[in-house]
Amino acid sequence: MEVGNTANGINTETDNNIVNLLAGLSEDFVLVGTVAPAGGGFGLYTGLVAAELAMRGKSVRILSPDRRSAADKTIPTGPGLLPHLTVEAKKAKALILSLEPGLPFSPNLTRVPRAVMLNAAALAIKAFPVRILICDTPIQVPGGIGGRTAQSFWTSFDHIVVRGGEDLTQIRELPYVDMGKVIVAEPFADSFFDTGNLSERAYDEDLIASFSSEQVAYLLHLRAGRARQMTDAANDFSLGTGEKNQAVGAKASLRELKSSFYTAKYVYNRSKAVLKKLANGI
Amino acid sequence: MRENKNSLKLAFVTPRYGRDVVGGSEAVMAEAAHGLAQRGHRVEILTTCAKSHFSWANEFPEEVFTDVDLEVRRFKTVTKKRRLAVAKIEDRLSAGERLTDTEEDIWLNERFRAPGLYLYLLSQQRRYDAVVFSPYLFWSTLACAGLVKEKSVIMPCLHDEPYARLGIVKKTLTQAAALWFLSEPEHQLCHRVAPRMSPLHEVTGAAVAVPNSYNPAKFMEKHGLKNPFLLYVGRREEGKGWDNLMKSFASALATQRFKMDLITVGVGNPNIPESLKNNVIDLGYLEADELPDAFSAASALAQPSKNESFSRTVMEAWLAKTPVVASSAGEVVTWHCERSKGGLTYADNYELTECLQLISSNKALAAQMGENGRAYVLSNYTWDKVTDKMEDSLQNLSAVNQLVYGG
Repeated sequence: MEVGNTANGINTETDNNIVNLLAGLSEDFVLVGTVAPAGGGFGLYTGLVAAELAMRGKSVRILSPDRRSAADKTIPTGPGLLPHLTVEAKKAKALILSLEPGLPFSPNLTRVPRAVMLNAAALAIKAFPVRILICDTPIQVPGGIGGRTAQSFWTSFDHIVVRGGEDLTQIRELPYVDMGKVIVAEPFADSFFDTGNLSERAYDEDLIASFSSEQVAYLLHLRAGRARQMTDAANDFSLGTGEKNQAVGAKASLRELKSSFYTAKYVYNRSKAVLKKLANGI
Repeated sequence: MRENKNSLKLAFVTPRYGRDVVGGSEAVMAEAAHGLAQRGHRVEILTTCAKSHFSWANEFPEEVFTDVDLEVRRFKTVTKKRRLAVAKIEDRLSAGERLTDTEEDIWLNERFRAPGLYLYLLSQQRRYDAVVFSPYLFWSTLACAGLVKEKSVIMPCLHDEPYARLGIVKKTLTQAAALWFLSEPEHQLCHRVAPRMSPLHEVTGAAVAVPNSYNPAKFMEKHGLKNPFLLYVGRREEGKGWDNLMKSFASALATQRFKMDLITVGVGNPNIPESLKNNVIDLGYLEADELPDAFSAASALAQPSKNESFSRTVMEAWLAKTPVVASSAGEVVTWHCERSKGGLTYADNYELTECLQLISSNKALAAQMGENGRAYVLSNYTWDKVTDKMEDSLQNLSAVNQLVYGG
C-alpha cells in the first residue's frame, strides 16, 4: 500500500542510482542545506537522500540554515557559513551542499560581496575530499560578470545533481561546467505524483461493500481538507506571501506553497475517485 | 502472540521509552503497543535516546532491539542551548499572549529534535499501515505527524493549557487521520482546539494492568510507616500540582482535625519545607511491583494536578480500592470521580481539610468509595476493552487508505 505523499521520489531507479553513487563515495557525509519538514518538495528530496544514505549505514550529519529542518545543527548563511564549512571539512570526508534560495549566499548580499563570498565558499568546499552539489529548481545561475565570478564555485564539485528540463538546459550554458559531472534527478516535489486515471482503477469490492458511514465521513473530510489546502496555497501564492516570506527560516516559501498545492491535489483526486466508486457501489 | 489475518504494520512514535521512564502518555503508548503486538500486529517503537523530559539528554544508546514482542529503534536527540529564548516564549504563552509563527518555530524546534527519527520515518513510511503519535506537545509529534498525514493516529493527551492553543498544535490535530482520546473531557477540548479534526476519532480511554494481589502491611513495615497517610504518586513539579498540595496539606494539618501523613513517591525534588519534615515523607522512586502495595496501604490518593488527560495513578488507586481526593480544577479527574463515585474533589484548603477529615473518620464511606472506584476501572479501563477500540480504529483507517491509495 502506498500511503503518504512524500516518499515517492527516492524509489525511482534514477534516484536510487544517485544514492548508490553517493554511498560509494564515502562513509562519512555532511549535508549542508534545508531538509524536511522545511523546504517543501526540495527539503523532502534532500531529506530522503540523507535518510537513504543513513539506511545504507553511512554517517550523515545535517547542518541547516532553517531551524525547522530535521538537522543536527542550525547554521547561518552568507559569510557566517564559511567557518562551519571549514570546521566540518576536518571531520567529514564528503560534502553534500544544496544550492537553494539563501544558500550558500545570504539573500541580502549585493553583487561584489556575493562574488567574494562565492570564491571564499569554493575554497572552503575544496577542503572536502568529496564534494556534491544538489540544485533546487529553478537553478539560479548568474549571467555576465556574476556568472564568471561563480566559475570557481561551480567547478569545485565532483558531482552536480540537477532536475531535468530547463535546469539542465541552463547548466549546459555554463561553459566551465563539465557535463560529465552532472546527474539528472527525478523531478522534486511537484511532479512526484502520478495521478493517472484514478477513477478507472480496480477496487476491492469487499472493502467498498463494508464501508461504514464513519469512513465515508472521513473521506469527505479528507477531500474537503485538501481542497482547502489547495485554495490556501493558491491564494498565498497569488498574494505573494511566499515571496515576502522567502527569507530563510520563515514559513511558506514559494516552493513550499507549490509542494503543498500539488500534494493536496493528488490526495484530493484520489479521494474523489473513491467517493465516486462508493456512490456507484452503494 | 495471536495469529491475525488482518495483521497491520504499526509504528508507535513516543519521545521516551523504557522501564525507567516516568510519564503517563509514555506508559500508555508502551502498553498499547505491546497489547496490539500480542494480537498479532507487527509493531515498532520509534523513540529517542532520552530518559529525562527536562534535559532530553541522550542517556540510552542509539540502538535497535527487541523488547518481548516488538522492535524498538532509538534515535539521538539534538538539544539547543537557547533555553532563555524558549523560557521567554513560555512566559509569554503562560500570560495568554499569542505567538508569532517564528516564535512557535523556536518553541517547537529549540527544546529537542530527533532528526534521525524524522528521516527514518521519511524514508520508511511506506512500510507502515498506521503511525501512532503521542503526546501532542513535543517535536516527535508536532514535526513528524505531518509527514504521514493519511496514516497518522494521534493520541494527544491534550490538556487545557496555553500550549494547546498554539497554531502548530491546531494544524497537527486537524491534519491527523485519526485521533484517540483518553477521556470525554479531552475529546470535547479537542473539538474546541481543532474544530475541523478528522471524523475518525474515538474515546479509547487507557488502561492499567490489574495486579494479582496487594500487601499493604508489607509496604508499611518496609518503610517504617505507622500513621495513616495520603499518597501522592508522580512527578514532583509545580505543573503537576505538587507545590499546591504541600501548601494545602500544611494548612489542613494545622486544623488538627485528622491524623494523617503525606507520603510522596516519584521523581523530581519534592522540596519539603523544614516545618513539614515530620509529616511529609519522600520515598523517592519505587519499583513498579511495589506500587500496588503503596496504593492499597494509603487512606486516599491525592491528585492535585489540573493537567491530566487520563490519570493512571487514579485508576491504580481505585483498583487497590483506595479512594481519591482530587483538585476540582482538574476537569478529567473530576469527571472520573463524578462518574465512579470513587473520589472527592476540593477547590481550596478548606475543602481539602473536609475531605481528609471525612476519609479519616468515616472508614465505611471510604471503603465504599474504593469499591466504587475498582468497579469503575474494571468496567471501563481494562486493556482488552481499550485495545478493541484502538484496533477497530486502526482497521477503519487502514481500509480507507487501501481504497484511496491501493493495496
